[in-house]
Amino acid sequence: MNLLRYQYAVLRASPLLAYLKGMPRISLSRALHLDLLATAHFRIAVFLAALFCLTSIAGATENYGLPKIDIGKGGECVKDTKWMRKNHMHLLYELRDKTVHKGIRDDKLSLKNCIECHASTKDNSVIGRADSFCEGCHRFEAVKIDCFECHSSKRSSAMTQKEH
Amino acid sequence: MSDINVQRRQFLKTSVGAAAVAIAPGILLFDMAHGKTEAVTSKVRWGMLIDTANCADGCNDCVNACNKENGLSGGLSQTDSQWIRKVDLKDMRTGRELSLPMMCQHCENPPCVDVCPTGASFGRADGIVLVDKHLCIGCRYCMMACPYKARSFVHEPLHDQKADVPRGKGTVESCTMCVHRVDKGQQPACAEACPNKSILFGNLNDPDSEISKKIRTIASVQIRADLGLNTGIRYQGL
Repeated sequence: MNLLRYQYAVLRASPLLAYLKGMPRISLSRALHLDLLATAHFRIAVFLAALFCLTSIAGATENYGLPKIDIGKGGECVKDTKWMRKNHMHLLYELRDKTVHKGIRDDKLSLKNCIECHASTKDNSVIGRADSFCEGCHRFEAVKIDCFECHSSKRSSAMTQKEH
Repeated sequence: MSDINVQRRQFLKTSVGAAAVAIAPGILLFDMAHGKTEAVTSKVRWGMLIDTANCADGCNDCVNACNKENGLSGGLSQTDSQWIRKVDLKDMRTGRELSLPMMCQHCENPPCVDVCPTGASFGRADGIVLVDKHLCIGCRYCMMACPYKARSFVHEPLHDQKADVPRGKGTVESCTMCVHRVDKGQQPACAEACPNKSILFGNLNDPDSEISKKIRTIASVQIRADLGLNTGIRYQGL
């Protein structure tokens, strides 16, 4: 379908291309009768416009690099954000084996404690929305999280309040 | 030895002492604030003694407490998880009736661990038998191997699990002796909920614990003791 559309566009453009080919080779400014292009003011304006374009592209790249996520209460308690973004899964894997098999329950490094701080203040959850703390990045990276098929994704203090 | 060296040695000694005094409470507070940082050991063997004479016929409090603590539905269909059941017994010759709670017996030599192909079914050093659901593939060999029918399989997707008790579809589960409570120094939910105090929870390896003193003085049995599993749950008056 797309190929057909492309061919159609070429066919439609071909008379125009033929016309342009027949034209004598002259500069664009002369062809359009614009002496304006040569003025100093215009040159400055073009320079500023180009600068604006470049900065906005740079801004867009930064936004593209980091998905916007709702970090809940946030804060830095284990390691800095950059390290955690890259290595949190190794911490969680190590910890889960220690906890399940050896009964070492580090309150600070537990998944429960991560969720306690980082669940959204809106819905008390780390998954479920495009900007949720876990799901925001995992959707962006296309990595499936299966933690929450068994583990609670909700802030436990909020759940206990609900029960009472 | 020169005088300056002696002084230096004295200075080092006092500064090390001062540093120890300054750091020690910090380490203590760190431990208190960060939960249990030491692995469980075989110095402890958690167990229970169930007094069947006190266990009231028709009372279901232990089962309800278990369901509430662990987020079980409490349903009784074939696909519902049951971690603890009340069993009524009747001796047909004498007509004597008994009621008792039945759950994972937390064996020392658990058949469920022997048959597990992935190492998901395991016994903790302190005698609590668990399923590591990260490793469980849901083959259910352990359910077939268990002589007490203690294990259940999760057939349906679950929602709103308890934060301390992760459970999920496709894995086998059973009584954990409320391991999350025990690690915090609390009793299992069933022992706490029993109105007649028929479930006594404690450390079988500590000769001074209440449970050890009691099993030393009264007659108690393990169910299917002939299998040589050395269960952690013992019954009195059976």
